[in-house]
Amino acid sequence: MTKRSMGFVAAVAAMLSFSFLALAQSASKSAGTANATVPRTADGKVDLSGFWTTPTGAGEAESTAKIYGHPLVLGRSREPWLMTPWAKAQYDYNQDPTQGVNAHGARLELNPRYAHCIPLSLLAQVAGTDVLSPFEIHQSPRKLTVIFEHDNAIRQIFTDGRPHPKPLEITWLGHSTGNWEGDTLVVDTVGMRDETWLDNDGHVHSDQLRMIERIQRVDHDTLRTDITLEDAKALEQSWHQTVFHKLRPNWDLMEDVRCTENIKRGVYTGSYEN
Amino acid sequence: MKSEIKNSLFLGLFLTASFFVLSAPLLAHHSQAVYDEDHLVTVKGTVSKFEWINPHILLHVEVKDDKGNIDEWICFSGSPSMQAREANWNSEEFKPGEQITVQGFPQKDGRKIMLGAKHFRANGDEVQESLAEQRIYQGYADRRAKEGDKK
Repeated sequence: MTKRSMGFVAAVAAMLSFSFLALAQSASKSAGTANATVPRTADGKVDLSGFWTTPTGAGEAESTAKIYGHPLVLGRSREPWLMTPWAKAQYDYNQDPTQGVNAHGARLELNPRYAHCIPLSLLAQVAGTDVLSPFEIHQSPRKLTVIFEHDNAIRQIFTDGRPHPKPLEITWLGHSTGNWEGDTLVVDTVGMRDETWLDNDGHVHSDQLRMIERIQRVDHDTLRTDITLEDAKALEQSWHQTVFHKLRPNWDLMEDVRCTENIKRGVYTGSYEN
Repeated sequence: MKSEIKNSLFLGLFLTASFFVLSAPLLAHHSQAVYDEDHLVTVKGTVSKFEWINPHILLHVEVKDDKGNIDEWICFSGSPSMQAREANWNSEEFKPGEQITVQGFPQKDGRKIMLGAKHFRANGDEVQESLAEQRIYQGYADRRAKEGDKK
């Protein structure tokens, strides 16, 4: 590499880091306060109602990456995992390419969803591990009802101040409570069954998993969710991911109950049987 | 001012490039081991069945060889929601008896199952595809072009 080209590369690198800093600063300034185009409910809260999905439309990947200040993949940030030895051993087993077909990122015959008809984890539903994540939110003062199109699964986020119940029932999507911090809805979820994978790569969790979501409607058409996962058994330290969704005012929910018949026919795996 | 423009231009290029580099493996969805995305096969025949089901739409195509033997190919597409929203398909997109040509990527196990990337009507009209199919086909075309450059 010539001196001149090295200088050029250094200049580009400097400019990039500077622009990321600038973007990050402007993003942090606006955090927590929705802009004026964002609709509100009668009680003055930001209204999160609507049909939302992964940003795959024209220009949406670029516009959400600009809000975030870093590149995103299908509206999601990519974060490294720091697993406990317990979780790492299972992850390695799920990944082992010598032991099976590694479609969808890990061994297909082990994938709880694709091979064993187990519902998606809450993270997979919210962050769209399964390619797209369409869902519809209905908001009332008492709770938000979220209908995930995948599995036609229903989630309730209670915003009336109630705590998690005791004893805590362990369910697929867990028990969620929500508190408004300014214009950000902070959702706390516990009590999730441990049979699910967090993603298609085979990351596992225990029933100690806690998921915290900070949900903001950053503009009329954009939802930003900052996710934190805590799991003392599976994670050495908390894991963070930011996910964006875009509004689809004209979309309606479709039936998407995937596994019931067709998993047995191998429609997921390509090992199709009539 | 000038450096600001240059700055945002570089940022834009970087973000765009990063998106494509990072998203390639994700967008290949079902591909990693099941389908051979380096071999495009073309199947011309008659629709025998069209299944509008999750997680993948299945198009069954009967192909007759010179001796009159009939083979059935099964062509996978995206989910009904993807095909409806991104490609404007409905549950009667293909009708039994219809002549069709499908181009796609066969399963590696040699069975007559493929990922249908392009569909053509009897009159040659190309059917709209969902984003995933478009990207998988584009990936194949790009790799072919790259190989062509090397030769």
